[in-house]
Amino acid sequence: MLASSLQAIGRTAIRGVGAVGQGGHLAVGAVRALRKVDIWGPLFVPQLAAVGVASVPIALFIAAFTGIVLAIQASYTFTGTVPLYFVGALVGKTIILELGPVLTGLALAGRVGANIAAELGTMRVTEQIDALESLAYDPVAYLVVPRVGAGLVMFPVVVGMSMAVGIAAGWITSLFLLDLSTPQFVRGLRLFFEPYDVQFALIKAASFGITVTGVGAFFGYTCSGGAAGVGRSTTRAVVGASMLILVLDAFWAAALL
Amino acid sequence: MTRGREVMVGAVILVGIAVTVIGTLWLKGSNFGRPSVRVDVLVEEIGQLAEGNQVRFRGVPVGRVMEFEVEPGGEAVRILLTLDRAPDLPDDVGALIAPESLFGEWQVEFVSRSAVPFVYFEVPAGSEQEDVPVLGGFTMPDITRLTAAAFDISQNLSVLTDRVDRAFNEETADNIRLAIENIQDASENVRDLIDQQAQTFANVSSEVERAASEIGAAASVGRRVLEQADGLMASGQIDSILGNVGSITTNLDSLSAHMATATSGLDVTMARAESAFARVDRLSARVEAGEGVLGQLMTDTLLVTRASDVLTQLDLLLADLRENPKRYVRLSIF
Repeated sequence: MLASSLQAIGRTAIRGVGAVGQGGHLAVGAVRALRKVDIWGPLFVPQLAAVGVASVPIALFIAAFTGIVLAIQASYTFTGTVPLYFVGALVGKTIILELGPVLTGLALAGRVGANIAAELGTMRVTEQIDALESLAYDPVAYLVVPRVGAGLVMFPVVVGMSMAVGIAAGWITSLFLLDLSTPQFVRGLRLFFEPYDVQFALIKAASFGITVTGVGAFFGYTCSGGAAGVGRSTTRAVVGASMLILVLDAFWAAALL
Repeated sequence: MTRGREVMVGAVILVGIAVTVIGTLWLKGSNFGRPSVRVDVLVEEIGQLAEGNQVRFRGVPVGRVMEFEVEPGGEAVRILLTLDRAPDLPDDVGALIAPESLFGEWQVEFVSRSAVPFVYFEVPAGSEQEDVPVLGGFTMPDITRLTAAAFDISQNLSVLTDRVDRAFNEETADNIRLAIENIQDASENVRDLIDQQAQTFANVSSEVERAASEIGAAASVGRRVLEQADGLMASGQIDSILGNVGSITTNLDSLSAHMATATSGLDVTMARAESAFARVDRLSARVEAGEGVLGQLMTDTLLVTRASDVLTQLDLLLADLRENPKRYVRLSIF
């Protein structure tokens, strides 16, 4: 009993260390593959479209309803004591600093991370990646770098648009559902605004982009076990990316604020 | 990869960047290239003021706080303000930095130093940068300092209360009660004295008022007399009056001479009158003595009665004669 328990712990630790090693190996390979622009360059724009442009609708949808809910809940919370124009401050500050990047990152972890993990996992279990290696193609440069690069570039863009849409949704909600005028909302919006807030949000968004695409690429690239393995890899990619997003969120808050 | 997809990617990237940049600038309060006016403010400290806080004049937002920096030497802080337009500020304008509300918002407000007197920072000569006007400012203490001051006051009150509590016993209370009673008596005496003095003062005041009014009236009369005299002097009528007085004096002399002459004739007249009065006295004495008809009439009542009867009968006779003249007069021609 004790031996089996120790064996389980040891196996898990070895797998964990092995995964970290594989991840590090993949990361180093991706950095090295940056030189091979002729391989990943032609694939970069399609990945920008797949990772960024295709994610815009779901990101804006989430941001819009987040802004609506924030405005209503803020007005409910502030009733009586706090001036209502603080709805603008709360909506703006919350969306820019936290909900815009994090909710967009989580949504894209499900959409983009799962997509990448499933795509690369399928290529792995069908030995397409092996075929690339046999053709002297660097699979990391061909499969990982354009996806991670697209995540790095497009996540801040999508998050920037999400923040704008979220604030606009909060403003429209305040205008039509709450007893709040546009000047009041804007006053609250500008009350505690710092340009650094936007920088902070974009830095987080870029880190989330690398994380989501990188985790998806890792679990897809290291996938094994056929179709079931692809499924597991996809799930792990989504769960791992979501957890890392929250960890990074706390890390950046502690490091930059 | 189609060209359309590439265009779509480029458009999304540009839109995302534009939205982020323009939104940031808008929230920061940028005027997007519109003309603006820069004004600097020097203060000892800025409190909780932050970049982007509003600048107001008479409550109207006119600009924003752009940045601030500690002056060389560390004696002051320079606040750079950007105004959307240059308002007509008062001559003695100062910058008051104070909380905008109780929720942490601060602002810079242009005020008249005479209307809102505080110890504004005196801007030393040569503080202007790039010909930008520099105003002296004053920063109100924030709520934490007020709380600290209130805490100090409460501590002092606590100590004071403790001392009062120790010093205030039964004997002290009795003494205080007696002192209060004495003060009350003294107050009543003082009040009576004041009432008396007030009455006296009222009387004196009325007298003084009346005297003053009389003096005023006399003064007005005197002024009027003097004015008339002045008028007379000015018009030369006084010479005429003096001439008339001289003429009157001459006439009086003449009258006196005539009076003297008349007085000399008056002696004779008086002698004659005295003789006449003597005769009248004698006549009166005879009448009183009953001499003569007049004397008898005055002394004999019977005679008077008879004379009266005769007169009565004569009246009756005359009356009858008027009524029946034929009884007494008969006229016959033939």
